[in-house]
Amino acid sequence: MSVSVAIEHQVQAVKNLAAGIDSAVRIPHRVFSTLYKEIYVMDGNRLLSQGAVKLLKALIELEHAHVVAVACFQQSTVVSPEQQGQKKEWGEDVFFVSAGTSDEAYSSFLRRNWSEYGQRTATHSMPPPWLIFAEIVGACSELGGWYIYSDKFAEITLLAFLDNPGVFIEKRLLSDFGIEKLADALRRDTFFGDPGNEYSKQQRAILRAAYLPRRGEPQPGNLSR
Amino acid sequence: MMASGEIRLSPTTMRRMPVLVQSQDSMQSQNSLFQSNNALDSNFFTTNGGLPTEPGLQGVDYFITQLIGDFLDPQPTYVNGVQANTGMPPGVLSAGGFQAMSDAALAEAIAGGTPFTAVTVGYNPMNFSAQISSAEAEANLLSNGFSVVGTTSTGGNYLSNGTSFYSFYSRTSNGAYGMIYNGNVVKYNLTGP
Repeated sequence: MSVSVAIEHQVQAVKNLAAGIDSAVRIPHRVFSTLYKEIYVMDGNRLLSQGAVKLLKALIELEHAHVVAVACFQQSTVVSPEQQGQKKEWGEDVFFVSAGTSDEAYSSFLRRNWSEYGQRTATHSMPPPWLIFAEIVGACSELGGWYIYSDKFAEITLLAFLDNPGVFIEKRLLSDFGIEKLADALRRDTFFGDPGNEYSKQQRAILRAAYLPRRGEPQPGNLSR
Repeated sequence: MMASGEIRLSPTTMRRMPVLVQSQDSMQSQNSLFQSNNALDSNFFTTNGGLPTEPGLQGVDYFITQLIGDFLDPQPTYVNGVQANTGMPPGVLSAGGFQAMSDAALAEAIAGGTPFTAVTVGYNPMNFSAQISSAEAEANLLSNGFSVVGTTSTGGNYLSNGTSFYSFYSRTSNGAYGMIYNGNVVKYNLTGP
């Protein structure tokens, strides 16, 4: 693959990242475009863990895509003196995963500038380490057939497909990656903290209504691609 | 230098090159900190942490086990008869040193009044739960060389001593984030080198 084609894929993946979600809302509300109909769920830390690259490579293979863009849409506020008031667009800080990407490369990226931020000596040229400050992270390929969205404080990560991936893929997602259909996972009450509390009940009800509308009900959300 | 797997993009989409930093060993300061706090140097166990799937502990990864291995008691510990860890020696960076503990078991431990520190797997690499308030935990850290280096969108602070990072958040029945324990904030996150 030529460099120009590779760059085209990366640019398209970033475009898909931007187009696939509604940045004005957060989980448990519907963050995905209405085109994403099949919703799965996994651990909240999945995109910032070592297994992230393996998962993204599997999705690349599944989709016959070439590259995945991983972006941080929201970070916690850094109070390092040199960083105060600094504002960056998420598109300036994107990590790309392809078939050749190593776990170590991603791990290093997540931990970059760790000491500088811990010692408050970071400069403007040092981007914050995602592993600490990232709150909302997304991933999408250049083909856009699926989208992963992770919210730190919701403690879950959602995986959305445009089309039903099929039973075989569904089983593999569960067995290999612990990724479960949202409809199945919501049968338990282990979302949003301890089971049985009112907050958890409210959040799960919103999540269910946002992503699993009953037949005949209009799909929530207003994005279209 | 570019990280492996990274491809340069046009200026509008190329991310900044990471400055890779080798973390320093923080064993000494961490041990001092934990030994100074009775609630923090007692038993450890893993718990659900809000994960959607059972048995509640999935995705235990390098980051988690690395830090756990740094300071855990090498002897197995138990909470209300439930084995809390398998005695992973300090410094051993391998998975499998912990067993998942259900929310119900955690609740039982809390109800039993057993002094404990819970290691949970949430979004951050590692979370501790202790029967102290977030204010107490934060004050403890601030008096042990930590300073505030960031704030979360939910209003919590990030504290760091240069090598470890803590963040605090809570979830109560009225909608804040974190774990519930009699209205107190019992969960805070530690991210280590």
